[in-house]
Amino acid sequence: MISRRLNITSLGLLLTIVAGGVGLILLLSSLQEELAIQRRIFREDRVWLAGQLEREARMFRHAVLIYSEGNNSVSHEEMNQLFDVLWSRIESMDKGQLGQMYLQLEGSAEALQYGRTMLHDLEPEVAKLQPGDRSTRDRILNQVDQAVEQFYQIARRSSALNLKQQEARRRNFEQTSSRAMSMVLVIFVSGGILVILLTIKQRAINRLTQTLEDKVRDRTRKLEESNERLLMLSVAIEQSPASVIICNCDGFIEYVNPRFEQVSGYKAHDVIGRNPRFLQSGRTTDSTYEEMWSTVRAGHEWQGQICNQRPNGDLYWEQMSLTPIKDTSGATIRYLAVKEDITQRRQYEEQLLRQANFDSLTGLPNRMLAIDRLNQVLRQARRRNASAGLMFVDLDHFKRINDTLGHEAGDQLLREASQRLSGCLREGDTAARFGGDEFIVILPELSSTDDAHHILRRIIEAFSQPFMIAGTEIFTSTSIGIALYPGDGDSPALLLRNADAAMYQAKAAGRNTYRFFVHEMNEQAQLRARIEHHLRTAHERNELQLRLQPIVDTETGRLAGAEALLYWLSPELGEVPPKTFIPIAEESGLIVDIGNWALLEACREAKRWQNATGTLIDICINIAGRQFRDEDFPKTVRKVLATTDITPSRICLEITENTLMEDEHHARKIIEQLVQMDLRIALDDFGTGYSALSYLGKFHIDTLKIDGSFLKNVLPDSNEATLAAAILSLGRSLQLNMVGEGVETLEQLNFLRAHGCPMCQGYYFSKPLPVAEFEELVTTWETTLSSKIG
Amino acid sequence: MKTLLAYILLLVALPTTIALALDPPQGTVLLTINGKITTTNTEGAAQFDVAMLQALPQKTIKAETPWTAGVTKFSGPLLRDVLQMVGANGDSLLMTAINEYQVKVPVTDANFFNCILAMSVDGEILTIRTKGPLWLIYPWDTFDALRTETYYSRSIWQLKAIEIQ
Repeated sequence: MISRRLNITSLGLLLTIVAGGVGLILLLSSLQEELAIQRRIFREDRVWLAGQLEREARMFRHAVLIYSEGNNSVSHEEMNQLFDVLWSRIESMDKGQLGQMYLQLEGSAEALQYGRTMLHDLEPEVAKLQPGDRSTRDRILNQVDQAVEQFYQIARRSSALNLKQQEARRRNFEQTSSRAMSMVLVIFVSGGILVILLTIKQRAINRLTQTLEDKVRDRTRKLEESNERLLMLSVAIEQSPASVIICNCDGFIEYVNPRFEQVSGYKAHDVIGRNPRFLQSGRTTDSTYEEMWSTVRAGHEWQGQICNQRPNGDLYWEQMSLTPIKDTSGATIRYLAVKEDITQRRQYEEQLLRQANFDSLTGLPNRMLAIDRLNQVLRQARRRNASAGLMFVDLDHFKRINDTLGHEAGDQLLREASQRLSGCLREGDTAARFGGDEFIVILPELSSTDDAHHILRRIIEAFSQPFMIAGTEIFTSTSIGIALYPGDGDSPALLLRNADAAMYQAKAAGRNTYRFFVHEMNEQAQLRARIEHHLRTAHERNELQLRLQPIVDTETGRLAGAEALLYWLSPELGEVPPKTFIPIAEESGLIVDIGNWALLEACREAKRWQNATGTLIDICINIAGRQFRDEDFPKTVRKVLATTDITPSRICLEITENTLMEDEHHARKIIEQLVQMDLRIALDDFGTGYSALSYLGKFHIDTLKIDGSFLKNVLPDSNEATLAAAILSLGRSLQLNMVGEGVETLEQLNFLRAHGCPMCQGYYFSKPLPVAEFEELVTTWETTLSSKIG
Repeated sequence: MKTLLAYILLLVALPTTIALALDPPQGTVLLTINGKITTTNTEGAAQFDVAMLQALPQKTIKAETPWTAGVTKFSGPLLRDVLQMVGANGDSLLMTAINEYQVKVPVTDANFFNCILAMSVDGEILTIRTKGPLWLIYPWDTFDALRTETYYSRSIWQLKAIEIQ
């Protein structure tokens, strides 16, 4: 509205300006014309002309007067010339433009006529005038004066007219110019208003333009965005790994994506316009379809699995999501189906289900399923107020079998063992593979511990029979721990831990046996953990100490050598004897470093002793199984010998029966290497283990160290005494050096003497002593000897 | 000797001066030019009779004038040629008519416009009675801008003398 009003006003103003401009131009051009006329007007206007005439007439009159007086200053010719001048003036009075104007004056024609007549009358008079001819002269003068008078009158009238005309012209000019001025004013004012209006309008237009531009920009951006989104979506659909079908509201296919073609085996042009019913395999139940359509017709999304069929008859499963697409009014205009081929996934799922719950090697339930089952059993037991049991079954020496016979044999052993284990169970019990060579057995509803004992014995017995693996008879045994619900724990985790502790206890008891969990076990296990923890830093913190225990000649009581023993002075645990921490060090692998350190220290001590006293001393050093089996062990020994420069024959390495039996072949190889270095080998703690006497001949053993337990009871006819005597006899026959350990009494010493044991050691003579004390002991040895050897 | 040489040199120089000299008029003197001129044929002035002016190249101007009816044919020598003949070297020309009317005309008018000293109108020799014998005519046929009072007032008739100033 404002804009239209502005438009009309502007147009009016514009017209005013144009009209003013045109008027001004016309006025100016008329002024120009006037100016041109003014410019063209002569001074020789009528008055001036009259003046000229009068002057010329006076000149002629003067000439006539002078000539008629006979004065020679004016010739007749000169007088004639002035007459001719006068003639020409009067003659040309009505000639040309000026003449026309002159004729307009009142009386001018008559005056001219009078003038001309006068000239013609005077011509003969002038011609005949002679000096002194006064009458002619007077006639001439009279006539000239009359003519001049005539012209004068005209000139006076003309002058008045001229003034009037000039006044009129001036007025006209002033009017015109004032009109022009007012027009200029109008133009200026109109122009000013127009400029203001236009500026206002321009601003409005600018604002409008800005708003429009903003809107357009905004709209464009939105369009671009939505285009981009559309493009993105369409590309996403085209390249979607899911099949996409779009149907119209009647259920006929409008679009399928390339993935659909791949999965279904149908081409897009074959299916468009058809009802997707042709995909049905007949495997999906009618109720599924009914549910699907009722959900979708109600305007909701449906999801589910359906089985479809390819043109070649192959079946495939799809996870489908069917969504109604609605327009703004809420009416369904399309159906969108997004489908994922889950045929393979379903297969995997089945497989995974099996894998997730069962061990692939043995076919037994795995740890997951076992714990699940255990939970279930515990829930039932809790409900029925019954008890239940959990066993931890570990195959003894499985690692050795696996290492020597290979993994395949190991696997076969595990399979057979699992079968044997399962065969020992009651119905309802569950055997499961827990990992490696560990199995667990879940025993629901134990009416008494006797039931458990019964089953445990059956298992031990079953494993006592050899396994035939790869054509070889293999003997193995099991160590079993058992924990009972609710006494030993009410959660799977606790029962598992306690059963494990019990199993460990069984292993510690020499394997091939079982143990029920008792609470002390747990305490022991905790202590063990503490020991292991502190042991890791003991070596670094110099908490380990080498002690020496004298080895004495039983006959003479003289010092024959010393056994080096490791003691641990822990700030946290106090003095820890080797018997306690060495097995832990061995299990944790710490023994390798600790043992090697002990070996080096012992050799250094022997050397120092040798340097100090000039006498050589036999030093026996314990070598742990793990240390012995370490690949680098011979190399380490060689290095120690080289470093300390000790006589190798004075060094005796003590190993246990178990060390030998872990891997006979390897042990023999190592022993041979050590013997080649001129070292001696002693068999420590002889009699406590398998005491497989037959082995003794197989190895290059120099010394037997008879375990102190054989000397506990040296009364005649005691079991131990008989055994000890047999061992000593055997040793003698094998020509082995022998050392009786743990001698605490004179009786024991005498027993050894009596049965020909040449050496002994024990508290009877001295406990293991720190090096300094040992040295002190040695210096006083001889003096204290007599009382000891009796 | 020196005097003799000076005379010889004077004699050699003379012919050029003589060549510039103007013959004295044989008939009635129509025009007398004085002032800054180098060539004279009488005491301090150059005088022209009809023959002398007619001997110069004649130019024609056909134009309407305020004083004549219709297109009129004016003929006569160029003012420039006449001034050249007298060796005029001033800036303005003070022209005097028989009736003692006087007007100053810049020399540039003569040089720039082909002004003529009309001696005849429509083939008839001008007399005093017909604003003759000499009438300064501007080329109004060529330059419309000359149609102003300035030039009309310079168009002196019955011209009898020019003083070069």
